[in-house]
Amino acid sequence: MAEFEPNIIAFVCNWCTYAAADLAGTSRIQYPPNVKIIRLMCSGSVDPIFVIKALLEGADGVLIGGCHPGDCHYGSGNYKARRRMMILKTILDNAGFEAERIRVRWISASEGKRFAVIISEMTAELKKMGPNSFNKMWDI
Amino acid sequence: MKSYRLILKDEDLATGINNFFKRLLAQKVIDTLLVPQDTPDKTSVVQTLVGAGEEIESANPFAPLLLMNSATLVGQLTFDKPGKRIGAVLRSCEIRAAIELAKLKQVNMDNLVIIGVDCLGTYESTTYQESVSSFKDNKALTMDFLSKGAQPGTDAPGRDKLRPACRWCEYPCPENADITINFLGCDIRKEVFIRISEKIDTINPEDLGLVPADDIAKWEDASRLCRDERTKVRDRVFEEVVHRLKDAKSLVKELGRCRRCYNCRRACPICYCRACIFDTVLFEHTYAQYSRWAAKKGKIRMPTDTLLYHLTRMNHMVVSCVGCGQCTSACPNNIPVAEFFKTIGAKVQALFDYAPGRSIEEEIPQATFKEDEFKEFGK
Repeated sequence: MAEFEPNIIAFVCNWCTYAAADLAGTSRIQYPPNVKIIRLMCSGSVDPIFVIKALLEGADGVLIGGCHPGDCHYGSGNYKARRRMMILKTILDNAGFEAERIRVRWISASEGKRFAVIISEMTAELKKMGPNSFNKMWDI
Repeated sequence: MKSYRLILKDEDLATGINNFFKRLLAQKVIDTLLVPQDTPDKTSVVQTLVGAGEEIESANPFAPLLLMNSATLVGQLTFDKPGKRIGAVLRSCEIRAAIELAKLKQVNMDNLVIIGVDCLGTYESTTYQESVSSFKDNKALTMDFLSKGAQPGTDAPGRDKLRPACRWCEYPCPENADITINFLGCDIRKEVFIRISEKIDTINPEDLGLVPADDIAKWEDASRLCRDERTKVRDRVFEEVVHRLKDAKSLVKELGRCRRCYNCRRACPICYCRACIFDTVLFEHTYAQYSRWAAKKGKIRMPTDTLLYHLTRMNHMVVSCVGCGQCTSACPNNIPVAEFFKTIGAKVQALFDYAPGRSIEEEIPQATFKEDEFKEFGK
């Protein structure tokens, strides 16, 4: 039986985390192909409904990547993202979800290696956690 | 707040309070009054807006019936800043919701005179109708309900008949009101306390039929007892809900019989959006999308997005949830929506040490941020 390959959806900001992912690529750093990257202009434009929808569709992990606090290209987008994701994680944690599947990471444009490490770690941890039970749930 | 006694000489509480409201209007403390009154057949109570020059005859702010959270009505009356002094007779959950709506710019507090009343709880409307048929009318039911439950440590008749949200409401007394009517701990055949905020300096209490109260300890003690009792029930409910929602399957099961009527959203005073995203084109999926989703999971429930709706609504408003329970009362399938929202709401509010409706000065956590906070998050 083939090993379970987690599906990670990553909502990343254009200016920092997406650039980091790009740097990982140009530096030829190897990391697992389990991540599907969705580029937004800012982590502050990540509507929590995207994250909930991704989980309900069966995504095994969701990564939200943005600039480090204080370095947001638009000034305060990541501060808002921080509060929104804290609230979302609290709600989902108490509603019976495995909130560890949602990770927020501040990854700057120069941190190509760190992006790769974060994806590798997340993939390994999600393999241990197993598939998201919503992958099979249709009555939702 | 300055405390006064409304002494009931040769009149019952209902008449006494009715006359108090009459005097508020006559003294021009307010230009109009939003007040619960008996329906013509006296078997139900609804909020009414008293017309200019009209005499109030059947005010009934204590009946154990709350057909909707009046914060929405306060929004309707004040939204376009009419510049008139509007008095609104409200229970604590309604005041707290109105304060949250003011932060959301749906209620305008200028010229609003909040008249808060103590509340021992309410029945579902079907339970109320059954009860009122065994009494003569609203007034008889209300007096029986209050007299047995107004003293601390007593059991309100049919306390088990109260709406669940009322059983675990830890706010029996109104706060942030301009005028309050407090009956807890009082002998309601003789008197109740009326407290008036210093902000209303245009009133002469004598003209309102009030005498100063030296000692309101019996009300303070009774309200503390009530609050402590309810808080214990609330904490038990929180524990039980957290235990019930232990995994994804549990939530799906609890919400499984949702029929997407959106009554919970309509009943919720905090859900004020004129166009909820669930009513927009965002959720008018194409056949192509439906069939793709169906192919991925083998089959999909139709209509889609039931769980997404509840979780999104939770994410949008739970930080301001005042626990009034109108959502559960409105649900045709008896889903205990309020239990989930109040429990999870409390956890989210705790992140920011926030209490909805506690103060108009406190910003809604989702509407603001601090640069220096939650430093460990996202590392």
